[in-house]
Amino acid sequence: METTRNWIGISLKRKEDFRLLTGQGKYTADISLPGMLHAAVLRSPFAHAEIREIDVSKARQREGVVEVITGEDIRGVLDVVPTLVDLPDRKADHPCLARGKVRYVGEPVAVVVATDRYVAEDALEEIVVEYEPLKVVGSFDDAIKADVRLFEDWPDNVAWRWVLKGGNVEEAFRAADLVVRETFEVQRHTGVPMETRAVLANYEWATGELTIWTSSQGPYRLRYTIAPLLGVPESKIRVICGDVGGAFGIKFHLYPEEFLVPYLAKKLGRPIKWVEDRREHFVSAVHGRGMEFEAQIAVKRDGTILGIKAKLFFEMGAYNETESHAPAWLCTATVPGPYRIDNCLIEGTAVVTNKVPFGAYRGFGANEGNWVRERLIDIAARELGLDPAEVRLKNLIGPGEFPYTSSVGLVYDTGQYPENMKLAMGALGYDRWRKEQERARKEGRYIGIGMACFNDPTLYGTRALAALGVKDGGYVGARVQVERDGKVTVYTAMSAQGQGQETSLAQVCAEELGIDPDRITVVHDDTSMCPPSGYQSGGSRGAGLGGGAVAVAARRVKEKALKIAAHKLEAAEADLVYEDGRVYVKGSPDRVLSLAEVASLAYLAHDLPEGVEPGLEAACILDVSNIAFANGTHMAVVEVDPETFQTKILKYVIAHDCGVVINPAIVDGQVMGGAAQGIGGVLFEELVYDENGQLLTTTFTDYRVPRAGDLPEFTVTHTETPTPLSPIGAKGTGESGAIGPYAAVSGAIEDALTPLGLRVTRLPLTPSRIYSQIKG
Amino acid sequence: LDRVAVKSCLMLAVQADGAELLTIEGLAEGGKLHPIQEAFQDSFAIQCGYCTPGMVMSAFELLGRNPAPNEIEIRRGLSGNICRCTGYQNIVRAVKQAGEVLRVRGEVS
Repeated sequence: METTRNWIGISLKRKEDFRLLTGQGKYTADISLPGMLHAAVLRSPFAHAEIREIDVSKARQREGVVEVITGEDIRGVLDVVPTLVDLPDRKADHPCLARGKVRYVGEPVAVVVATDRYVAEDALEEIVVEYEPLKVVGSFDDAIKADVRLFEDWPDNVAWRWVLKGGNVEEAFRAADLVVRETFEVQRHTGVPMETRAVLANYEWATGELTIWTSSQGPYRLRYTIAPLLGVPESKIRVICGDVGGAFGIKFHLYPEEFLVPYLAKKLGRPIKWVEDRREHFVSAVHGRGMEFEAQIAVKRDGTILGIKAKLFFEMGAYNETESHAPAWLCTATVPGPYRIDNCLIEGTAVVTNKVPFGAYRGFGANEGNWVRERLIDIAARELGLDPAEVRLKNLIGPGEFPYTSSVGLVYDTGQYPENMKLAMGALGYDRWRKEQERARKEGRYIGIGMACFNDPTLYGTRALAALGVKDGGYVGARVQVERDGKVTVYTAMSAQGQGQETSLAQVCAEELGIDPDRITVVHDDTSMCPPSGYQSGGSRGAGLGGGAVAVAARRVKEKALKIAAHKLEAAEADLVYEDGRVYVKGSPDRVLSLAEVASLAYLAHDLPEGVEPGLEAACILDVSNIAFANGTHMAVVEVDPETFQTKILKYVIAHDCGVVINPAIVDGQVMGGAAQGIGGVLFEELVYDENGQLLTTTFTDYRVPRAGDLPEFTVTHTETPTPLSPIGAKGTGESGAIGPYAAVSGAIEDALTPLGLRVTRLPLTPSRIYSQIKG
Repeated sequence: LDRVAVKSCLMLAVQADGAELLTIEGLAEGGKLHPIQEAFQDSFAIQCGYCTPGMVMSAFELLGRNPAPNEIEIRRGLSGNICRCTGYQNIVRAVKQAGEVLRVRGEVS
């Protein structure tokens, strides 16, 4: 790897910002086409019910209504939303429109298409659906009882059971000086992007071309799954994602509306737009994080961790929507984490319940798996009278132990775990805060310090995804094209929802080609222009894979440029130097060609070397052989008010390691944003269902996302441990920030309230929850 | 609306009759970014951009009322705007920077 870096590691200002600052962003809802119609979706008001009859006649008659469809109208054409990972031996595919039965409040039942949204929504109220309510399977226990089944052809409500194990856990527990046993629960909560979902579709009958705009984490999967269903070849389908206002894994999934709207556009021969409102989003876009555990840790008196046992009780929701069970698997696989825990037995049970399907919210289960283990470590340390930081340092995998195979079989590529933790402790002022805590306690103030060490699987390539049962590859494509004017266009398969790829990928290309990023334009999220990606934006693959593909393609462009330059300069390639966007002959710097001049020669093509085609572009579809593990340490200092039990975060430090950093400010932004969501999950956010399966939290009044005044200032520091798995040494960065806060903040609150004997086992830690847990 | 931040979805168009309306689209004059917009870019206060117009216009009103807000005042002043991407820190920095620039330029209204 090069030692001098010109553009990698620079906080280049973002190219995306100008249009977003001036109100010129093009989110899907911003686009209008002539003759456009508007769709509205009728959603089930019952969590579990049979559909006896649907009468759309009155709705059809309303002035302005053009079409109304139900599940029966699309039978045999659009039955279910294609999945990405199937359950091993069950089927719970999400219907495009409910047929015969509804299984969660919010499930789509019918679609109205009308001349405007107002008419469409009014028409929804005129659709008469006769429901026969069924008993609601509203909890894990309800599901296990199985007196009511969601799917008649299943023997029960169990979607999947799995076991991960390694070493000899029984022996480990026998040898323990202390075993800590607890039950834990993380509440359901979710990503809540500021932009809700939207789909716009247009079908040109004269050319057979279907164009779809969708607010999604990628345009490719929709294109290849919808093609056979609508009978339109992929060559005639263009999917564009445009500007996407946040996604966080929620928009990784395929949704019924992404199939229904294009289907209707083709059927009616008119453009159709659908934009959901916030309430719809809460009841139909995937939910995350709800997990229950029974877990145990076995430790020696000196703090050495011998083994871990855990049972995960997981509610998948009503259907497998894309890969609703997959985050639960990763949750169990991340329980050992960055430690030398060689004996483990982790069992998972996934059940279906009458709730919104589960999804890939930032962290994909690593948040909860890491939380449970960190909680056990904290509790064990306290019982042994040991410093929780010392216990962690003792058990963290050391720098000389890589690659390290965890007891569940994950291979950690590189890392500097203890150094990373020490960096966090130094940045926090750990010893100083311990003294401050003692002083404060004497004054009757509750100050606590919490910490989380975790590692985070990133850079999922084909091999890893195939092993996980994903019905797609994990590659990312890039095409680097030097134009006649010497400027460069980078076409990337990476999708953007705010991560700044237009900037960071330009930096990668600039680094390779030795030109200013100002001369580089990055094009993304358009299937007609960009090379393909399997898996799309997800699993933190943007830098390592997206950036890696650009780097390799740019290197191939450089190779071709050298050939053309050698011919023109009448020199051997071995005698040429490529530097700062220019090619010159070693020792004769006056014999030089700029990249722009080489491009001119390439496109003029009057005098090219033998065997070299005209033009100056190259492509790469990059895959990686294994998962790269990012890691981090989060440390939090909190103060809990002794009367109101309100928590104030006094200091929050993040030591982050994602390998090579392309743009530090962008990376820090991702880390802080993730941490904000994690803190929201620990302190504020909860999706609450009542006993009838009604979601009670469907507005921002009920669902408390953090506001500016709720969050602390973040201190972000870095260790940088490159990975050999990416051509640019970068690991993934998008998810880590959201993993640390669960243990760091809940551990800090437990630490603060030690005098009151609170053991934190349930989230969220709202003031009233803390109060009732202390009283109870 | 007349220098006060309003929610367009809670106001009937007729209520704006005779008023001076400024939206995000009108802030950059002649394609030149307003100091608040520049500060947002300098401070990496934007990720997906969806909250940005609201944040910028709220900051416009805040700085109009209080040209030198401290961090608490900024966080409180932006409490009506939700951001899900940034964790707010860079937005707060941006507003602080913008306030300084506007004061130096004497552009505080």
